[in-house]
Amino acid sequence: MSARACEAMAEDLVAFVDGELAEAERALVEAHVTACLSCRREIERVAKVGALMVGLPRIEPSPEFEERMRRRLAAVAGVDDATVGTRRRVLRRALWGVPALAAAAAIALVWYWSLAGPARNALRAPAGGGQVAAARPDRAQQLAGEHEAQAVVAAAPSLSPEDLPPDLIEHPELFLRYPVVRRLNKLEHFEEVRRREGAEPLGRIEAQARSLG
Amino acid sequence: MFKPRTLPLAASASDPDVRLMLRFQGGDEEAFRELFEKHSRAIVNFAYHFVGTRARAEELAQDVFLQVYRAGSRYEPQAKFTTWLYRIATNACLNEVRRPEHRFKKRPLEYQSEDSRERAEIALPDPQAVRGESALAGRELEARIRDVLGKLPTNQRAALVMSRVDGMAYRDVAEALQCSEGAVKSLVFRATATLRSELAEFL
Repeated sequence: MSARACEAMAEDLVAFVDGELAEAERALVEAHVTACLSCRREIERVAKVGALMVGLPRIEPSPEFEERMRRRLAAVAGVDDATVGTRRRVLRRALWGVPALAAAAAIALVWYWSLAGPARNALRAPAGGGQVAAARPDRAQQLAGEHEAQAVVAAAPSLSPEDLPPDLIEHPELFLRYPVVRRLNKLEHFEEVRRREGAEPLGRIEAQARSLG
Repeated sequence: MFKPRTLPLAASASDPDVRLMLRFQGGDEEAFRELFEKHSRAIVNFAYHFVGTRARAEELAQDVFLQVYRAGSRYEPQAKFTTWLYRIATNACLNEVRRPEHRFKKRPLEYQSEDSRERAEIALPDPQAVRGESALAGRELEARIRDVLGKLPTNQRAALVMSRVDGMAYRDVAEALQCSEGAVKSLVFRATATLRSELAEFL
């Protein structure tokens, strides 16, 4: 048998000993070693090496091995539990956040309407004022105050004796025909103020004024 | 990281260890304990061939089973359980032997003292642990074999230990090492050739 043939067979000899060859390869090896004493001896040596490996003493884990494993597993489980706990806390916070946010939004809406409502009522007369009031409650309050002040200012000069024409002094009922009085007449609170002060309602005065005209 | 499925699902599902792993996945901690009891000794011995000390081998084996424990929830039976287990073990051992030497010096003193006690124990052949005619001649032969094994390239060592010591088929070794069967055949051949040469006086 040639050395080249034996060399080519070397890897298969080890696999042959390990029982890892397919049927066809196994047949080739068997045929070769039947005629090759060198390879037959090589198979014997490879088998002895395998036997030595198998015969190596196994070490036994120490008595503490399982206990250490148990402690490490407990530590890992603890970390995992902590991670799960953190996740749960985050989830709980998120779940509580929804109603908390809704409650906050409701409070904000109530606060907003409590501020914007009166302002909107007060500013219903001036065109466009309501939109501003709805957009900014603080601005609405400011505008409501300004409006009341403007009403007083608008009325005050008309009622000033220096500005009144001589005809009006002679016929004071003509005052009810002034545009500013007509506008003021539309304000609900103006009538209320008059009633609170015991004054005669403007409507009745107006009726009398018409009869005068 | 893992190779595509090499075994049909039905084949891997017939593996009792796979069934245990699936039970563990379902929340049965007892199944994990069974797997640990069944395979931990083999993994300690496998690791011992790489690190040479029992304490470190035990630590590595624990690392391996911790990985199994952590991977339980996402485990998919794509192969035999032992193949998957040895793949984890091989990676752990190869990572360990690639670490700088100073890492071993940092270990607690208790491990070092345990190691010295262990060397004395290991040096004495245990007649109960030796099988039939493959019994070792004595301390010298065992020390020589371990010395030669320790000098083998890690992939050759892993392939040789898995196939010869743990009795794994080349196919399973290939999957554990994530290489071809042909590569395993070559690794085992070269490792065997080195051992045969180095241990010629004992053969």
